[in-house]
Amino acid sequence: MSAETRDSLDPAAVARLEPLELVARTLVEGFLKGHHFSAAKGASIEFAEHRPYAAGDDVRRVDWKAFGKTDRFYLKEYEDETNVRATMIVDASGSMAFGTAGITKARYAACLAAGIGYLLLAQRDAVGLAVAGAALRRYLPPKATARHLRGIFDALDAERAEGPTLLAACIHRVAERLRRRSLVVIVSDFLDDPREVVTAIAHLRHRHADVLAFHVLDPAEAEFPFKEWALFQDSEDPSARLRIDARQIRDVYLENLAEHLDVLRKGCAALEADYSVLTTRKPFDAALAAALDARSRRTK
Amino acid sequence: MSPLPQGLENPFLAPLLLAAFLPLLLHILDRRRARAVAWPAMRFLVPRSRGRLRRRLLREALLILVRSLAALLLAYAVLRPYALEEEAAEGRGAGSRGVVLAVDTSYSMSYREKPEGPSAFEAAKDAALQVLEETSPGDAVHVIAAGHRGPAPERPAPLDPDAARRAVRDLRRGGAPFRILEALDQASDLLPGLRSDRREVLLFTDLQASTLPDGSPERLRFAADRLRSPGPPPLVRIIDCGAPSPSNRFVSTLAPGPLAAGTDEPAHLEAAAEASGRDPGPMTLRLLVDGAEAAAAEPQARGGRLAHGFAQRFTAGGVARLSIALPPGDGLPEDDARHLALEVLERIEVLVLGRADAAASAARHVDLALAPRAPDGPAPAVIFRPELAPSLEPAMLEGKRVVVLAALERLGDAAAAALERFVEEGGGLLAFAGDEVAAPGVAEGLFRDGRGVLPARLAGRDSVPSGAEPLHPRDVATGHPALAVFADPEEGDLSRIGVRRWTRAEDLPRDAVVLGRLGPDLPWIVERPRGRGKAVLVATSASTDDSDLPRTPLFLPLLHRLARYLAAGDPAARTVLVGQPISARLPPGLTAAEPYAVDPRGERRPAAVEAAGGEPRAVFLETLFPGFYELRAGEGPGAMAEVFAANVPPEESRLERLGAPALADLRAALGVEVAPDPREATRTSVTRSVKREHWPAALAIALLLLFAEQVLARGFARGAEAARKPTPWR
Repeated sequence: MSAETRDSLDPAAVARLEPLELVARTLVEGFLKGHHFSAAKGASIEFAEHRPYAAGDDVRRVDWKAFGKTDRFYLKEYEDETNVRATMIVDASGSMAFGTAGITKARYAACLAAGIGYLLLAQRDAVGLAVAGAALRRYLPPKATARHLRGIFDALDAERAEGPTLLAACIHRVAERLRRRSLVVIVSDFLDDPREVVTAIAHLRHRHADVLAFHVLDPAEAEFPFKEWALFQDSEDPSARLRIDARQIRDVYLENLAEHLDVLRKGCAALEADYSVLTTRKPFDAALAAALDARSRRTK
Repeated sequence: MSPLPQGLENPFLAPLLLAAFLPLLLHILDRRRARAVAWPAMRFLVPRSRGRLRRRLLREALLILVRSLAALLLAYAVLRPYALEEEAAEGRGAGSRGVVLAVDTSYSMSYREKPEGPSAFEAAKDAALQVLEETSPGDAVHVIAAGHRGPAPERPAPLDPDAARRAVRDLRRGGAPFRILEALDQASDLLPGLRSDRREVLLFTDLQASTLPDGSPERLRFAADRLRSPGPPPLVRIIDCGAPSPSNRFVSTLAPGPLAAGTDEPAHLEAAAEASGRDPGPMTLRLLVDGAEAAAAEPQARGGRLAHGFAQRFTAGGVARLSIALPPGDGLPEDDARHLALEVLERIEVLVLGRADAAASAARHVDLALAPRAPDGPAPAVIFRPELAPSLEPAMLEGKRVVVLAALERLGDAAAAALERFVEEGGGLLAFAGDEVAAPGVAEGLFRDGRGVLPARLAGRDSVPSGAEPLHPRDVATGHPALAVFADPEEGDLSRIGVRRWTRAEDLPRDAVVLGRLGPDLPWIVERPRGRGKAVLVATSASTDDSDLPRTPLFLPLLHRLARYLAAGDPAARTVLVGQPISARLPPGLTAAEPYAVDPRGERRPAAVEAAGGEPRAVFLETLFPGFYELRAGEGPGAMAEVFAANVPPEESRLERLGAPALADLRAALGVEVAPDPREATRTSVTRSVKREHWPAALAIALLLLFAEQVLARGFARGAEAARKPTPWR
């Protein structure tokens, strides 16, 4: 990957771009350029019928073999096939507003979701959006149109990270709405009961959905760099406070976090769901590659 | 080693012990300084198990405890705690002995517990002789008479035991107080000269409270260091020769009044008696004049003290021998009387400087006020004998008690020096700062930037504007003996005097006292002591040029009281403490005569002749007995016979014993052993108190604790690190 491409995927640099559509295009084009992917690769287009040429039709779609046989112009009609119906569940709870690396978790999640949406639509896939918070705040069913994708971008831009997290309940609500085999992408900090979240993912799997879970962590959450006494206030509940010597509690914190992640990782592995942990310093390309990979597996 | 400290070398650093709270304080401050962090993952900050949380708190408390203990021990080490332990000491055994015997010869040692028993001094000498009985011919001994005034002899050679016995027998009481640490310092000077296998310092004293006036740790440490250096520390013992609970009555005060005593009016005498170790109870104070009882009083005791003021009229001039005596009957008879040699004046010779040619001159006003008479009339029946002179010649000062500076055109250096010497030796100067005295040529020579005799710089003349109201004296110190007659305004009110001109008195030296003012910054009467005499400045003229004072009836009592006050000189000049020298100027015709002193026992003792300021003086040093001394020279008419009195220092009469804490400090600092009975002087010590310092142990434990704290902190941190699972994002 070139330095230019790497810069285009740097989370802090990307977070500064507006609007989200531009972010998505920058991410995907940089990603594809870096990995020499083709936008049409994997697309499935099947022949449907011939129809006579009409003024204004694209001459490139003329079937020249038929012209040789019949001496008349016919156009080949294809039936577009939407390969994948993807739904992205993006966490917009209060805990996602936290950020120390020049970007909040919420912005990172929005950028990542926008990139994945843009990439999937480029594959002619239908893309939908579910915004999770204390309840399922917004649900846009999957569609394969650019206009719909812009609606998704607008929705991601409009959402504010606030309120408590009830991620598992939101996933259950999305699972209930799935009609066909789907790809579900979850972007969240998973600050919910990990066993309930795993149960919700099992619900998705039961509905024949492939699941791709991105666990977004801020570097401070991952490393707990505090070295003195601090008064910790809960982002989702300001009344919850804890005055403690950070040096003394660091190992407890890291242990608890590791255990939390362990439950999620093992649960996802058992359900054959993809699970990745990302810090907001990590470039988006790995996540996009994972999304593309999951999409490929889904279409085989 | 005893685990409990018995004393501290640096008790003033005790507040450092508060350092023990430092870790806790830092902990609390850290808590208070906690910065707020909005944090999403609160659930991970709480340990899953209560046991683990409790363990964590216990670890933290343990670390704070260890740090606090380390801080406490470090502070404790800085205080330098110590314990006293008995240690076997060198005593009787092989090798030669070097002994320093210091015997308290102060007057308190004369105390006898029982009339038929020995005095403390006799007991001390007996005990010292017993110690010498234990010595061998090869031993070396120094004998110190601790309690004599004057410098100790320079490093005398050590004595053999026989010579030491003679020296002890010859010991006599001295006049100076005995100080334990000074005696040890003297012993320290002598120790390096003792080339012996074992060295001992023995102090024989009554352990009076005043024997250790400065028992500060630093002073004790200094004495201990001196004893130790060079060579091994000697065995130091104090032999307590005093009575366990002495009681003593004594005359503590006999002082003349501040005005010169004359034959014209009664002289005031202050007398007081005290008791040491008990309530004084009723006592009769008898005033003896020249050995005969002149008055008696039985005052009430107030605050453990009996005081009475006697008014004694004298019929003849000369030196009166005054004594205040108590009825005899206690263990220290030497202080039952106190003596005073008081000079009683038949005439007060006054030299008045100024021109007498003008009838209204300042000098004439002074002359007439001191002795009102016709210009060539006979001397009036007053005590003052003024002599008028237009200028000062040194010879004029002979026999004079007071010089009044009314007016003076000039003052030569020799005259100024003679005037200064006159005041230094007890004369009085009264200066009226009119136009002539305030003139720069005279004023500068008298003041000499504070080194001269005048109490202030005369900085020029001032006057009230024409037509304005005159100034009036204010803030007059009517408590002063010379101005006490004006205490009642009905008797005489100085504030009625009108002053139109005056001299500015400025740059008053520190020892100058303002006795009256004309305004807030205008001193009118200023007094300054100088040597044994005094000088008083009045910032207005003695003529009517400056004020109406000479015309008022107040002028005469003001001048008489000031002159009488200045004529008193130093009332205690002829009264000394036992052991202090007495001296008198030899008259010109007797410089070749051999002066001698007659002591209170009537014994004739030779006196020395010394030159002081170019004049020969007879000096007698051995005033070892309280009572009256006479310094004599020559025979017949013109012979010198000056009377002096010597008294026991009052502190030698206060027989309160040294307290147990002070003795404990002595033991701790110097490892001194105290023998409570002189009969134990010969018991060679088998043990002695040795000071064991605790600070090395405290420091070592503190360092160990600090090391343990590091180990614990790292151990806790490592344990926590090991318990953590690897994180998936790394």
